[in-house]
Parts: sequence; structure tokens; C-alpha cells
Amino acid sequence: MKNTLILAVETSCDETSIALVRNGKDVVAMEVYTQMDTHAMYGGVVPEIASRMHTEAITLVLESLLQKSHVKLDEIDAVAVTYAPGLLGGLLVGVEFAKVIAFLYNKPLIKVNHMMGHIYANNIDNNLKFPLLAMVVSGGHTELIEMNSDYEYNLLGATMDDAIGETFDKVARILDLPYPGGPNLEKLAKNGNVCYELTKPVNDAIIHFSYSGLKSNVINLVHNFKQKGIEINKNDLAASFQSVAVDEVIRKIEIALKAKTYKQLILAGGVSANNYLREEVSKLADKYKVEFSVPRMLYCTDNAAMIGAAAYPLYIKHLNFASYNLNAKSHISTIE
Amino acid sequence: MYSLLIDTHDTKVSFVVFKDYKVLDVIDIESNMRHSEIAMPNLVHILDKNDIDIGDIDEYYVVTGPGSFTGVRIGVVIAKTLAYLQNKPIRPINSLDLVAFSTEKIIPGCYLVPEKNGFFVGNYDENGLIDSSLKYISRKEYEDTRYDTKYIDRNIVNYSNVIVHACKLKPVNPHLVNPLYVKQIEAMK
Repeated sequence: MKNTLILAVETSCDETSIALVRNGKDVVAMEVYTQMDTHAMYGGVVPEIASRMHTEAITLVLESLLQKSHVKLDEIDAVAVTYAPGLLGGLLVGVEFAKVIAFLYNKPLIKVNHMMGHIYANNIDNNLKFPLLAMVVSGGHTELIEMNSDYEYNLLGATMDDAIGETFDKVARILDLPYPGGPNLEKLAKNGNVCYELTKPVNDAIIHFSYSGLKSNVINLVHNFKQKGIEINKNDLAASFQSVAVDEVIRKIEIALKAKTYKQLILAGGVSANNYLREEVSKLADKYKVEFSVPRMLYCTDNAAMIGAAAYPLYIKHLNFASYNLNAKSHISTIE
Repeated sequence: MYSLLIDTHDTKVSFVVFKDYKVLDVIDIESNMRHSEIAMPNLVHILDKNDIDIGDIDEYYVVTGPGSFTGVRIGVVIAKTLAYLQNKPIRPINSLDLVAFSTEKIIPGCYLVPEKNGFFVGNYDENGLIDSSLKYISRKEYEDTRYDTKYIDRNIVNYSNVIVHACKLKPVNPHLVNPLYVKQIEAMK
């Protein structure tokens, strides 16, 4: 079979990343330039600053990738780029950059959904096995997706309000934790006990998710305790919150696992870096005797290799080929 | 010899192709802030229309602002990527230069580009912008100071003259061609 080499570009949040991926699996080279330290000074990602830093970094990141890989751009078969969802200003930098490369080297331009990238990150070290169930968890998404083959999917459930990652970050803020909130909250939770009573988000009759109630619950609890002058044990509150937030995901995955037999259960998206969540989903997979897959850390956080992995089946199927009028979109569902 | 000027700093997307420093063709489209959809297709269009291969472009000019933050980034990313990958010289020019360079000889004085709540101003002598004089002023500050300004109308841009002045500027390493924001954003204050 012919080797397909895809140049992939990812600029949807605060990482400028470019990768060369062969056949959707072999990561020939990848560069990730993270802006995290800069955004940490502001307590969160500042979209305008992110866009500025992508613009400054993008050609340098490419140069470094090409030097490392000894690949020449005329050897590539296609250019893949994250066009949605994410921060619009950042996405636009990657999209315009990818268009220029596609144009100069006369290669197809493939638009990739960032969240599909997170799912296909599992196809780098492992293989996707259909039918599969994918739990996509990030700062903007909480979606349960069933895939029967490459890019044939059903959305089984989604958040009705806030995303899980967003809730982790907001609760971290309430607890005065530095950016990035989610990982710092997880660190506290490790040393805490689940002892604060927080209400479960929604009932088990539906497969959709809800996090805004849980978030308000934590805010109210912290306010109440402050007013009464009762000291809050941050470790315990973090552990209690994490337990309920993760339980919401576990219960909904279980509904889907009961209804149908899957070959694989996938955890994808930025929040899949959370170890407690990984462990709980892994236990559930064991219980239902379904293979559990989660990417290694490098491919869990935003990276271009996963975009190259997701672009490969699109290239083979001639899907998502984009013209130069491609625009970026800040909000779309994983399955769009 | 062909030169290409890219300008996306305001509500328009503009491409100008020069042959031996004479204007060969201009595309100037009101994009309604859909620069991303408009820019690359029109770059391809102006080249095709004039039967020019992108490899035939010998040098690039790009307007780096100040202006619309997102708008200017579109043109800058396109221009710096083209120049970098083809190893061609690139010269950034600012949005005030566009006006100041539009006369045969630069008329010394204070030039001004209007913005939503204020103005970008810069002082020019006969050689161009005086170093570090480019700044943002609020509408109130403008009224209080009574700036003696010249040419604020973008419609007077004369590309035939612009290129004569712009080609004298020093080329810049494409990696270092970045937007000129001038105005600070809230979070950075």
C-alpha cells in the first residue's frame, strides 16, 4: 500500500503544533509550542494573546519540524488543519497557514474537527476497533459518541449546559487554584476525602450530561461556609467535586454499555489527562469486558499528531476536502 | 519582476500585483469581516487572471496594521508563510505608510488612521515614519490635543507611489514579520 504522509496543523487553543503523520499512525515528527506559561499569568487563556502568539510562532514551529524530520514539503500528500471547534482567532492562524502550504505545493487541504482528533489520538499507539464508544471530555465538550466505522457515528449524549472541563476550571477558580485549574484541582483531590455532600447532576433516565447544577452547588457551599466562618478543607471539597463530576460520566457510559456491545471504550479530549477519570472508566470497561483505550499523555493534550491521525481516513475516503474559502468555526459538535 | 502587496488590515481584502514596480492589477474587496473566506481565493484569482505562477512573485509587501487585530493576522500569516517557504524578501509596511507613501514625495506631518474609539497617529518626515512616533490616542485625547493631521482618507491610497517608497525599506526575516497592534488589549494593561 502507498504511504500517505500528512502535514497536520493545530492552533485551536494555546498550543501551536505541527506534525508529520504517516498513514494516520506513524508520527514522523511533531512540534508543540505551548503558551501555557504566558496564559498562567492571566489566570486563564486570553484568546487575543493566544492568536498573537500563534502568529509569531507558526513559521518557526514549521521550520523546526522540517529540520528535525528531514522531510521536504513537496513529499507530503495532504495538509490537514483543525478548523473547529476552538478559539476563533487561533484557528484562523492555522487555517490560513495550512491554505498557503496546500496552495504552494498543490496538495489537498483537509479540514479536521478538533474533537475527532482527540478520538483518533487513540489510533496512534493503539487501533480503533469498531463498533466503539467514545467519551469525549474537554473544556468545551462532554459528548458520548458511538462509531460504527471511520467517520460513521451517532451522538448518544451531550452536555445540556456546561462542559466537564469548564466545570473543573470554574471550581478550581472558586478554590483559588492557579491556572491550569483542572490539573491543579486533581492534585488537591488526591489528598482529600469525599466528605462534602454534593447533589448528583441529572437522573439516570437520560443519557445526557449536566454540570451547571454541580458548579452552582459548589459555589453556594463555599459561600455558605465563608459566611458562617467555617473553614473549607479544599482537598476534601476537590475530592468530593471530582467524585460527583466523574460519576456523572461513568453512569452515562454505563447506560450505553448496557444497551449494546462495543469492542472498545475510548476516552478522549483534554480532561482524559485526569488520572482519576481514567481509572474509573478503565474499571467500568473491565466490568463490561470491553477494551479500554486512552492516548498517552502527549496525545491527550492538544497536539497536531492527532489531527494527522484523524485526517488519514478522511484522505482515504475523500471526505472534508476543503477549498481556499474555508473559514474557522468556534463552536460545532464533535460529529459535525 | 513581480511584486505582491497584501493588505487585510481593515474591512477590505486587497491584493496588488506589480510588474517592474508598476501596478499590473488590483483586487480590492469589501469582505464584511469574512477575510478568511475571501483572502486566499482572491490571491489565487489575481494570479490566475494575470497568468502568473506564485513562484514568479519575486518579493512580498504586507500591511501589518495597526487596524483590525483578526483582519491583519490573516494577511500577515499568508504573507509571512509565502515569503518564508519560497525564501523571498518581504517588507512590512504599516497602515499609515499606505497613506503617507501615496504621494510622490512624502509630505512631512502627522498622519492618522481612524479606529473605533480613537485614532492611530504617526509623525512622518520626508524619509518616512519617525521612529517610535506611532501610537494610539483616544477620541478625547485627539480633540484635546488638536492634532494637525494630514490625509485620513484610505481612498486616496495610490499603489503606484506606495511601491516606490516601500521598495526602499529593508526586507525583514519572514519569521519576524508580525502584526503591529499598537493598541493594548484589556488583559495586558
